[in-house]
Amino acid sequence: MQSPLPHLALRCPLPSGAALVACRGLTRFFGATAALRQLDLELPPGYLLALFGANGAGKSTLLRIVAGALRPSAGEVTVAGAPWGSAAARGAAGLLAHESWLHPSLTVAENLAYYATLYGLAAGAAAEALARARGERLARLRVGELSQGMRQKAALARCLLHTPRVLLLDEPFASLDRATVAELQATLQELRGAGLLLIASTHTEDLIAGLADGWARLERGRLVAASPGLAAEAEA
Amino acid sequence: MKPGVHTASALAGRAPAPAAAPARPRPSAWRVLWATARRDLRLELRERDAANAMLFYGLLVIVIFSFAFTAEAQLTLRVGGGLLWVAFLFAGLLALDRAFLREAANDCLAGLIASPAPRAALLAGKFAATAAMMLMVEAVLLPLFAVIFNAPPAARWGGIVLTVLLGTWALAANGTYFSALGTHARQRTLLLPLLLLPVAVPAIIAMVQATQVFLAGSGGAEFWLKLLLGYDVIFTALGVVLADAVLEAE
Repeated sequence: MQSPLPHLALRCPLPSGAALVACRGLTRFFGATAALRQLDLELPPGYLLALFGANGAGKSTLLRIVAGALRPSAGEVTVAGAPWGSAAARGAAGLLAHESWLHPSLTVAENLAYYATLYGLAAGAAAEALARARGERLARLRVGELSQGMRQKAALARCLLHTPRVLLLDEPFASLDRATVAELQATLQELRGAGLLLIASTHTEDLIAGLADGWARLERGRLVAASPGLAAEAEA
Repeated sequence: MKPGVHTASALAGRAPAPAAAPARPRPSAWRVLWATARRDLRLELRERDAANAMLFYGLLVIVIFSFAFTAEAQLTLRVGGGLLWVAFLFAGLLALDRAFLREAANDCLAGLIASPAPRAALLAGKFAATAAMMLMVEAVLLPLFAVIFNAPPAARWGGIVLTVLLGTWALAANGTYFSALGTHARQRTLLLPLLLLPVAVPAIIAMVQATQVFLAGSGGAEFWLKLLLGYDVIFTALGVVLADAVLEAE
């Protein structure tokens, strides 16, 4: 029999009293399996939260829900004050997922130009996003021909295209070499400095430790531990 | 309790104040529709996996039936409508299957769903690209059918082309909807015709009957064309209304 887990609510002290991402009682089922159970959290702008947990702990599920790619089964989620599923909430978040969300038969520029249309932006936004992700030279290359590191940069450009206020990163350092990791770390630092809220899930704790403002650990869909000052015991 | 930290119940009592959000542009439905259709056609032009298979399949049906039936004008009058739509329908199923299967690469569908683009415009863009692909293949198959089956000289080709346009609209509108619905299904290739064909029966009857009338060159096909147009309008409207549910179906 599995031991009962602690149930914590996660809330960062909000300097201006405004949460950029807020979840209350967030629950998600896949069939009969609960991937997230009654998750409560509030996070402010200009903050980098590292999310730890074993495979299947619910990290990716949480990020996909906040990004608007997955519907919650129960609970409330707001992004930049807008309710989950609204165009405003979707437009305020960007997710760097396991997959790039870029079609392999199109060039990076073609993919980004299409996403620019989906977000109501001019095609010129693609070049700006590539510059912010330090990937200008990738524009004419087909996504299917990119290396893992290049693909990660192109995907980051896709996330930054619409200047999101919340950037969600699912295993951002996976399969990257040291130089690319360092470059990505520098980019994340810049983005946090620019006032974005970043939530990064990772198994490689040492790569995010120096960057993160706080951390939280998920286990079997529950928040079970967090950095000091970030969590409190939730009431049943 | 530590300062600045609240329990879940305390959180529940106080909704977080929304951070001031900068005004964001709203994606235009027409631009999304056009961009989606153009992107899908560009992908098809590069990959050519649907068009080649459609053309091959359509040709195969016409040629095999030409072995079975002698190329007599009288016979064409009796079976031509059905035969033509068998070729178009099964070739079309290949295009419809690809419409959303294409988005499985690198999980592109998640990118579409997570964007603020109007769902109806995304679905309509997919419909437009699929219909265009079907029409291009049909434009090759129709003259071949006329030659191989020795179409009667009295045949009214304007009417046949109109029927093809309306029939393709019907199949593409319905098929795009069901293709999206079956995206995550394990047996999606089987699921698409299983869902589409029963629902499309009234349209298929109208297509075949109208084509028969126009091949014969006499008689009225107004009823069948009106039925087909009504079907098109109803199922296009349903697709628009149910786009959210269809694209986020799991």
